Formats: sequence, C-alpha cells, structure tokens
Amino acid sequence: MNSIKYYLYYFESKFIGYPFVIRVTLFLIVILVLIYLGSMVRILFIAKKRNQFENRKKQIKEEYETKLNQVLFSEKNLSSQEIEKQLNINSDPIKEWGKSYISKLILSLINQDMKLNVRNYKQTLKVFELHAYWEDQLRNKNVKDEGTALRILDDMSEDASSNAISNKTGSQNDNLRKHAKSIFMKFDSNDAFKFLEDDFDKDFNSLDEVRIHDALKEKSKSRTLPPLIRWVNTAKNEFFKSFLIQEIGYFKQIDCAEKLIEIFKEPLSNNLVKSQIAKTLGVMDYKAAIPHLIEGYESNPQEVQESVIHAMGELGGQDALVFLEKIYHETHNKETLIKVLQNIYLVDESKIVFNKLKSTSTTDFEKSIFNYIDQGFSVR
Amino acid sequence: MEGVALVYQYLIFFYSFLMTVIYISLAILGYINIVRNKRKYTEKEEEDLKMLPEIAPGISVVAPAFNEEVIIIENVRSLLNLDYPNFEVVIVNDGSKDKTLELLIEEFELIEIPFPYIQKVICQPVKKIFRSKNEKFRRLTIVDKENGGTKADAMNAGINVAKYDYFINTDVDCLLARDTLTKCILPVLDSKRRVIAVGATMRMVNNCEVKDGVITRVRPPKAFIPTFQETEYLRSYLLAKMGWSMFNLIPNVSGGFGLFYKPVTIDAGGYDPLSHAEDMDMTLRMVANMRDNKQKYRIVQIPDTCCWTEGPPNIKVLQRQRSRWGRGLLQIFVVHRKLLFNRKYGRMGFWVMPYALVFEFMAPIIEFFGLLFMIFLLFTDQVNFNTFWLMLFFVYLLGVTISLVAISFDILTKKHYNSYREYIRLVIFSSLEAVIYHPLIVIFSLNGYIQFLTRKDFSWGAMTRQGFKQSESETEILTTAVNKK
Repeated sequence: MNSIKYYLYYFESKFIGYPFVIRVTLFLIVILVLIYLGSMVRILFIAKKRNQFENRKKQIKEEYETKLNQVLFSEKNLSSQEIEKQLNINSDPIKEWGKSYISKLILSLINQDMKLNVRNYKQTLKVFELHAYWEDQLRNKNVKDEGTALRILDDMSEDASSNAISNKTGSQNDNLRKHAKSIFMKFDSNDAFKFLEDDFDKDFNSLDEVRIHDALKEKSKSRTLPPLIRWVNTAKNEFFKSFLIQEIGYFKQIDCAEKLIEIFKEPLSNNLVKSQIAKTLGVMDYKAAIPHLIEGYESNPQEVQESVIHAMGELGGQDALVFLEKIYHETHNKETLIKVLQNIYLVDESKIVFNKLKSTSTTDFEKSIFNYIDQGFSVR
Repeated sequence: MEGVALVYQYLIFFYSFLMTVIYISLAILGYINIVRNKRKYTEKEEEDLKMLPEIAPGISVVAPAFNEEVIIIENVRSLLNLDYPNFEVVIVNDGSKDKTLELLIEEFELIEIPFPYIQKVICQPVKKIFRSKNEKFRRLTIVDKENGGTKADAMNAGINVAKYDYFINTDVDCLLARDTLTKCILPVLDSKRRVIAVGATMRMVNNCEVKDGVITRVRPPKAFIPTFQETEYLRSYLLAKMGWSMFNLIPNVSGGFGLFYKPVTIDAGGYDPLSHAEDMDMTLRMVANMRDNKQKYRIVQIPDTCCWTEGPPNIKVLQRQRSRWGRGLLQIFVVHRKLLFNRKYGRMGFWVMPYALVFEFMAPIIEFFGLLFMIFLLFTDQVNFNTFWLMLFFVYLLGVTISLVAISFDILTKKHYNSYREYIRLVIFSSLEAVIYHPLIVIFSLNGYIQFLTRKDFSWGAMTRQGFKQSESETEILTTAVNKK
C-alpha cells in the first residue's frame, strides 16, 4: 500500500512539474487511451450480446417452431391444456428472455401466408402469459424496454390491455407517448378516440398520421367509425385538422361533406385545410360541392386551386368540364396546364372537348401534353 | 524568429487540442444520436409504413449515368427492386458515348414518350424521354439528354422530370439497400419542422458479393485504398455527421446518396454545374434559401448504411477524387463567403462554415507547413525529442481512437460483416492510416487547392470502374475506363 502511495505521489509531483502544454497533452492521451480501451470492450460486449441473442433465438426456434405451427394453424380449436401438452410446457416457469423470444417467434409465424386459428393463437398467448410479461415490461422505467413492449403489444393485436397502454399515454418521452396513444385508439373499447381531442398530441407529426391512420383502419374493421368532423371542429393544429379531413375522405364519411364545404367557404380557413377539403370532397365524389369549389377557385392560392382542379377530375360532370376548359384557357402555369388537361381527359367521356382543345393547340409543349395523355402515359 | 516559431508551435498545439475536444464531443453526440435513432425507428415502423401505401409519401430516385454500359442494367434492376410502395426511378443518360442507352432500351423494353418537359432548373437540353411498354418496369423513366459535363447538370434534368416531392440523389454505380427509402423517409415523417435533406451512411462495395443487384455478402474491401476509405467513411458518417445532426449542423449531404425535398431544391436553383462540390454547394444553398425565407428546417443524418459505392481502386483514381474534393472545398468558400460569420445564416454561418474552414479546409495546409517547419527545426537542432515523441503519439492516438470509435458505432448500428475478424482488418488498417493513407490525402487536397487557384485541370477525371456482376461461384470482374468529362 505504501509503495502504491509512494508511486502516486511520485507521478503527481512529476506531472505537476511538467509545463502546461505537456500536462494537457498527457491528460488528453489518458482520455484517448481510455476511450480506445472502452471502445474495444464495447465491441467485445456487443459481440457477446449478439452471439447470446442468436443462440437463444436458435434455441427457442428449435424448441417451439414446429409445435407452434401445429397449434396456430390447426383447424381444430384446442383447449389451453391441450396447447400446453402439445407445446410440451412443463411446470417450470419460462425465463423472461424466453418469453421475449417466444413472442417474436409467434409474431413472425402469424405473419406467414397461412390461415391463423385466432382462438388457438389467443390461447397460446395466455398459456405463455405473454401479455402479462409485456405489460410488466411496459411498466419498466427503461425507455428501450417500454418501446419494445409497446411494439409487441401492438403486433399482438386483439387482447392488449388498454390499461397498461393508457399509463404510457402520459409519458414524458414524446415518441413513447404518441405511440401509446395510437395503440390505445386501436384497442380500447370504451373511449378509444379520446386522444383525437386536443389535436392528438402537442408534438403531432406525419409519423403520427401513419399510426393514427393504421389505428382507424383497424377500428373500422369491427365497427363504423364515428364522424371525424367532430374533431375537425375542435382541432386547433391545422396539420391535424387537414389530416382528419383526409381521413374523412379515406373512410368516405359523406355526412361530413356539408360541414367541410362550410369550412372551405370560410375566408379565414387555412390554405392547407382548404386544399385538403377540396381533395376530400373529390375522393368522396360529393357532386354537390362542385359549385362551391368553382366559386372559391379564383380567390384562393395556387395550392388550393390545384386541389380544386384535382377534385373536378374525381367529381366529373358537365359543370366540372366547362370549368376545367375555362381554366385551360386562362392559366399561364405549365404544371397547372398539365393537371387541367389530365382532368379534362378524365371528365370528358366522349373526348369531344379534349380533341377540340388538342386540334387548336399551338405550341409544341401543349401538343406534347395532349399526346402524353392521349397515349396513356399520364398518371395523375 | 524564435518568437514566431514559439507562437506557431502553440497555435498548432491548441489547434490539435481543439480538434480532439471536438472529435470527442462529436463521438458522444453521435453515440446518443445512433442509440436514439435505433430506439425510434425499428422494423415495426418500417413495416407499418410499407403496409399503408395510401399514406406513404412518394419518392423519386434520380441517378445520372455517363458511359455506364458495364453496370447499368444490373444497377437499374437493383433500383427497381427497392422495397417501398410509392417510388419511381429516373435514370438520366448524360449523353453517353457507349451503349448505355441502347442496352437500357433493349433490356427494359423502352419506348419514347411525348413527355411534357418543363425546365424548372437549368440543364443541357433533354433529347428524349423513355418509359417501358412492360408493366413490370412501370416505375422506370429514362431521360436522354445532351452531355453537360457534370453530374450536377444531369441531376437537374432528373429533377425536372421527377414527379414526387422528395427525391434521392444517387449515382448509377451505387447500390442501394432494399429498405433505403423507408429508412430515409421515417425521420422526414417524424418531424414537425420541414426536413429538407436526409443523409445516410455510405460504404465500399468493393469485395462485396452481389446477386441480381442485391448485396448478398458484405466484406471489407481487399484493396488497400478502399479499406482505408471504408473506415474514413464510417468516421465521417457515423461519428461526425451523426454528431452534427444532433444540433442540425450538417454541412453536406453526400453527392453519392441523399434524400432531398424537391421544392426547396428548385427554389434554390438546383445543382450548380460549375461547382466541383455540387453536394455541399446544394446543401448550403438550400439552407440559405430556407434562412432567407425565414423558414425553419432540419437536415437529418441516419446511421444505417443505405448506399454502397465503389472506392478508388488505385492511387491515381484517389488522386483525381481528392483533388476534385479539394477544388470543390475551396470553391465553396469562394462562392459562399457571404455565409461565413453572417448572423442571418444562423448556425450555418457561425458554426458549420467556420468549422469547415478551420478544420477541413485549413487542415492539409497546416499539416503541410507543420511538416516543413519540423524539418526546419530538425536541421537547426531545435527539437526536444521527448516532447516530439509525446506529441506524435498524441496525434497518432487521436486518429486510431476516433477510427475505433467509428468502427464500434458501425457494429452497434448493424453487424454488416459475417465475422468480427473482418472488423479487425479495419482496425489494423486504421492504425496504419496516419503513415500510409493520410499523407496522400494531404498532398491530393493541396493539389486540388492549387488547381483551383491556378485554374488548371478542371475536368472531372476518369474513374476506372469495376462492375460487381457476379456469377454463382466466382466473381467476374468487368473493367471499363469511364471518362467523366
């Protein structure tokens, strides 16, 4: 001990005796050596973890894959005892890591292009106590574990407990919180749409649109969705409002059309929202919207105008055709010109107007648009 | 004279001190960013997006080609095989003199179409535009244009034809990972601010096994220079750019691969055909455009390897590549001098540009004069060898440590090589880099500066290209000399 102390004092006095530049250099060298060694250890650690992961995955696969296939895709409904017997589950509890790998194996198996026996699938999850395991993981304070648990519960569909998930909808972590909200919407059977109030989340973005769209699609499989216009009326975030209007179109909620027209006609409405309303009315094929869209065309910016032109192509009819022909003669924007002609071609069933315009086209550019559309290369 | 020498030595010391601090900080930030990225975007997010084509944004993949007959078919097939619901592939034949266009027409059953072409950004005239008669290749558009002499000019033609709001800028000699588009678009979706560009990791395709345009086995390059470059790329992408990305400070989205927001690219005037570093030039102009219009923006870097490119197979090609980069870097500071220390351009003016000036542009100059100064000190017997060896060890250690950290980040992101032994090759090469590879880079960069200042040799240089076509058992190396005018 004394000799260690001696050397420590010796090196300390030696170090202090060096010039400033040398001391700084020595300090940096020590830091760099530590980082170098740390990186080496890190690589070895990652390698060990990866090997362990692969071995465990292989072990679980060898043990359960064939048996699980027989249970999950069996035509016969099996009881939990029969499943336990078939899967050869003894009384020893399965280790935590085992449950994690079994979950992933089951999820990969059910994604196969085979007819899943849903009852057996649910029983299997119960036999392995997988929901309870992942709900426990969800209660962890580790963001990584929580994220994995959310994704697994989302993929497991059906019986995910919305209680466990709803706890996460107040998380400080933006990503976790928003993901939990979208899964809650998917699985909750009582107040699934509550997060559509208050603009879904203060950090709402396009990835949430993907998740909400997925949740709404899933929800619509079991029951008709409530009119989304309700949340359009309360939304303050224009991006969220525009997204809901897009979803109204996707789910063809025609009852919302009149209210959308009202919003479209409001002078203070946001352009993004107006543009989306025009598209949605087109998607819903709501022909009564044509005069309103035509009326609003001139007073709106190009973003909205292009959506109106697009909507006319969807809505069709004589009024739409006359309107598009008028725009064709008025526009000076080449991109708009292409869009107008694409839509005229769609609306003009007899192609009389299209051919008349084609025969009177003067520039090479215009001729190329007509040929491009006529020869079927144009995709709106 | 002695006073000047002392001041110079102190300056150099604090320069390397600052560099060490910056690299260590970038390593920490890069690590946090990689971990965060891995937690946020998993296969689940990618699969969800792919399952919802009605909501996945469209992406145009634009790849210019000049005299690429050796690799064109396989690489276009590879691009058409990308795993994403909404995308198109736009190949710009930049006036190839070989059979590039003929091969494309024959292989993909192309016919000329009356495309209503609008020139939104300036480029050489477009002669013809082709699409396939075969529904299988419906995503493919070929633009045949007059040679513009630069990739920038060809890219502009591609942008004029691209139909989606986001486009990928890549080279036809690059191979993209199948999940590239999903990986790149996720951070775009997951942002409240407009993401104007996304960069990803690039690495060497040399020595990888490729089947039907898909990389089936990743190996470290066999040749010396690509091996050095592999580690250099990992440092640049996983450590530096991932670190800078934390504070929205990425100065350059690589010309080999990057996702860009088209409306801002067009507003900024498209790629500059006169630029020798068209990628950095484009990134800076997009940033300047956003700042001028007082719009918030983000440039994102993702850690995943999305693009595989051929590294220079020999010193001659390396010289051409690095001299061009050197010319480009100097040109950037001449063209974009208004950005430097300009409050209007925020972080780009106060952080990114000064950093690039001091630690990227100045580095070869300082190293070169440092060497001359060292020789002078040796001849005048003014060297304290104890201090000399200590300093040399410190600088060497900085290089190898940062390389090892980058390699560990690569393993953390994804283990690309089959065995960990293959990573040892990278570690060994990184320990030799300071004495073999780095001096070459310094010389070639200085050569580029001189070329720019003397206005000499402004050609794009020739790239000797090896195809990565492989038969089942052995590699069929196809070599062609491609003159990039």
